Amino acid sequence: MISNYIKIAWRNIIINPLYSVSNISGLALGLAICMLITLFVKDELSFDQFFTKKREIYRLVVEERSPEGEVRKFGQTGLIHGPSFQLQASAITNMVRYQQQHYAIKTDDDIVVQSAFLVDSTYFNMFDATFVDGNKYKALYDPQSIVITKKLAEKYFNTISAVGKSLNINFDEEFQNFTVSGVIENPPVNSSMQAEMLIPIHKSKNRDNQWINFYINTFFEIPEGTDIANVEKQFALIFATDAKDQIADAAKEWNYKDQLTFKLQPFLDIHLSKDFKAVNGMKESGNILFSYFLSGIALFILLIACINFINLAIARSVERSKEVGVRKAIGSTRKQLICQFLSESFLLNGFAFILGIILTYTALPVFNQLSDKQLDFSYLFDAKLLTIFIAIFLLTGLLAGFYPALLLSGFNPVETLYGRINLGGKNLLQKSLIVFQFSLASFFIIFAIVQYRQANLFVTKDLGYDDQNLIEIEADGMTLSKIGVVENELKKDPSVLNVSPINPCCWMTGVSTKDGKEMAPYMKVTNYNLINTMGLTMKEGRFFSPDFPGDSTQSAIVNESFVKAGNMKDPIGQTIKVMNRDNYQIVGVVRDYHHTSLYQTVQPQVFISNPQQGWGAFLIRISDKNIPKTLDHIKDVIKSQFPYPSLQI
Amino acid sequence: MLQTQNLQKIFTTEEVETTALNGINLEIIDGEFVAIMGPSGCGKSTLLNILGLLDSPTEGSYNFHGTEVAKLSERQRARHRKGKIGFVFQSFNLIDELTVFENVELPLLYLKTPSMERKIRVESALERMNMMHRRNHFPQQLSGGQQQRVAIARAVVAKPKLILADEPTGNLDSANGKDVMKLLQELNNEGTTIAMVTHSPYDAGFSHRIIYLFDGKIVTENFHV
Ligand SMILES: Nc1ncnc2c1ncn2[C@@H]1O[C@H](COP(=O)(O)OP(=O)(O)O)[C@@H](O)[C@H]1O
Ligand SMILES: [Mg+2]
Repeated sequence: MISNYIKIAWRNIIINPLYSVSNISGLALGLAICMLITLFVKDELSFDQFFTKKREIYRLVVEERSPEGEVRKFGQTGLIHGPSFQLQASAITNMVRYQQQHYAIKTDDDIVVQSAFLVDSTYFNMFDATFVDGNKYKALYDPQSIVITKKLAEKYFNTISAVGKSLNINFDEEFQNFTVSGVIENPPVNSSMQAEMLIPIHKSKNRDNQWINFYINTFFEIPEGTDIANVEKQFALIFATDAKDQIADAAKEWNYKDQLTFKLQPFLDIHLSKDFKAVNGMKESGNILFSYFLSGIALFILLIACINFINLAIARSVERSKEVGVRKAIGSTRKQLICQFLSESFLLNGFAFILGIILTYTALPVFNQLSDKQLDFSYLFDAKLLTIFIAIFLLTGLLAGFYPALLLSGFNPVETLYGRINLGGKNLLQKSLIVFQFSLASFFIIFAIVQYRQANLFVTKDLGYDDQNLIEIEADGMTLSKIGVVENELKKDPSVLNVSPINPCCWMTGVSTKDGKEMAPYMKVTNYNLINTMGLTMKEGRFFSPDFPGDSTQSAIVNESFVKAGNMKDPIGQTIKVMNRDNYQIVGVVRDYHHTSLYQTVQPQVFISNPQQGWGAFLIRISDKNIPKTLDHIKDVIKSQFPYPSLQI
Repeated sequence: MLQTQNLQKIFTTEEVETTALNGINLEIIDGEFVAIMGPSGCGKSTLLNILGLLDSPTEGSYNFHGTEVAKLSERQRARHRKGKIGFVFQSFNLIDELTVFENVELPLLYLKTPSMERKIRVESALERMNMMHRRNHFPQQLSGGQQQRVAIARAVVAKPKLILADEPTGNLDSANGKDVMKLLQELNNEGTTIAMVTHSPYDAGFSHRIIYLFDGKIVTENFHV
């Protein structure tokens, strides 16, 4: 009987190609979108789940509370926090610091910049990694050793058996040979820990003992069942004693009054956390709400596809009514007819599924590009997901097939056989389904428009400056004379329009105004040329200028938000104190531009041009002609002046 | 075979009530061949459908094969007619998506006949209707006469005791109509009871008895032989 149903179903599909194609492709499209979204959500939710100690690892995080009650949250700490806490809090069984750096590596014919992580030698006791070469427990013991991934082993040595081979790395200002002591599998895409090269942190000469300086990730291993709140209380005590002198100094020197609270963030929370984000080389955080939201959309789309399926089936039911009558007259029961129509919808559904899988497969690369992920198709084939998909298959099959089956099988044979069937007025359900489908579709169109405009905001919103053709290149050891040389060399290419030294993104500093108001604006260290390079506009006063040689030590520029936040009436000419140390006179106010996230309102900002503060990067404006050639030129110039740079382009 | 008493059928639609049958008392005995005649709209098809358990009467009693079936539910009626009644319609009513063979096989599938036996019975029914050479054709590829022969094959394949035919020759030319009538007569000679609606006095001539309907009532009964 089943084979007979399938035969009929198949022939119905063949005989009505238009119906079948529209039905199958509609459902397939819905399913494909559903699958892509499932992959995305799975990736988000499965992040870091494969680590054996996922529930025992915590990250040390800090809350900094100003006297005004403003709270800033840092996912990072300094070098000293980890060892100090581990030493005195007995619950901690292992501690790993994880600090991203960029190093120049000398290969046979070139110098390349490589991201690497300084880690404690117990790293592999905490974070799983599969060693394809070398010994897991001895790997990071010798300070001159490194562990690299298979990918890097192939890149630098053309083999994955790289243990014993050496790499010439610019470490602590000199090129040294490091010996590969282990080769590990490339980290899974859904891991926060994406290190491709690990170097023992005890190799570094950096003995920074600052308690109020946060720039690396520190992880603790704490056995399950431990009272975490209690451990955090211990941290507070340890900090209060160990950091006492530094806090006192900071209060004296730059009026530091903030309250620091150290907390433990469960490892699994990091990826999706909004407060304490994945930073310093940890893979960037996602947004859990977005995942739920997408899941909702996936369900809606599937629902629309099902309703579409139902509507088409109902529309066709009149054509099928004669068959129902005949079958009933011949001896079919209603149950058998329901089975028949259900198997038809399942067959259509099956084709839709196969097509959906093919669509997913072909769309995955584009989707990855759009969503900035590396989802793999093989992801689909895990037991849990397969169950979900089989459930979706059954659900859509039933959802889409059951009502039409019920409707069709309920036809009165006498009416159908004599052609008296009339669905015209009475099928309220179909009417309401069509209305529902229409509303959902409209909703999605509106939603898409809103999304599009939202996305467009980032592209077209006036940032307050021209962000096109602007390049930032980091370089170490920038001096005034070197900057001059670089600028001259760069300008030999007419496509390089302007060059300014700046400090790399997002330093904050302490500033007090003449009325004694304390502020924490973002600070840009630069020179007079920035106004041209970025294309900023002045609200009042002037920008730094070569005509005022005193600017570098005496003058500061602020933005409108700074003036507003500082409640300043007549900013020009006022004196501000930076870092409780240096006095500058405000000579100009620039119009606000977005220098942090677009989600934020424009933050207060102060510009100075004092070389003492150090720069660290070049901001270069190029014309939009011949960009590849210009970039090559820039690379060459920077390399010639900073031969062993930790440069990043 | 069957017996009705004071059978009534009233169709109620939104606008009107139609009394299609109005007190039908009818008995058909085993092996009989009955023709039902009368003007269009007088209730012939309605009567046939009720006799065939496709529909139920509004009023009255209907004894089929010793069982009172007038008040049965749709599901119970389906069970009672399965394998016992074969239908032949004016418009053939073959399933377009199935081949000749599969159409004829369908009643046996619903009776859960084993596949070997199914094959034998379908083939013998087709041979008898002289349709074996068309077994793998689809209905649309056949002439009207051929389609009706397939429909008869389908009606007889389960060897029912009763065949109900609603204007079986209505859509056929006279030569094909005559073929069909001969087939029905043969079946009747082998013992199958037949009730047939017809407009054609010639076709009615094959029956033992003619019942005339008018406005849902039996007005005359004619016995020949
Ligand atoms: N399903 C139905 N709904 C409403 N009226 C019907 C239905 N079936 C038949 N009738 C009405 O019942 C009467 C008898 O119909 P029918 O038995 O088909 O007549 P005949 O077959 O003699 O031409 C007609 O008036 C017809 O309109
Ligand atoms: Mg009729």
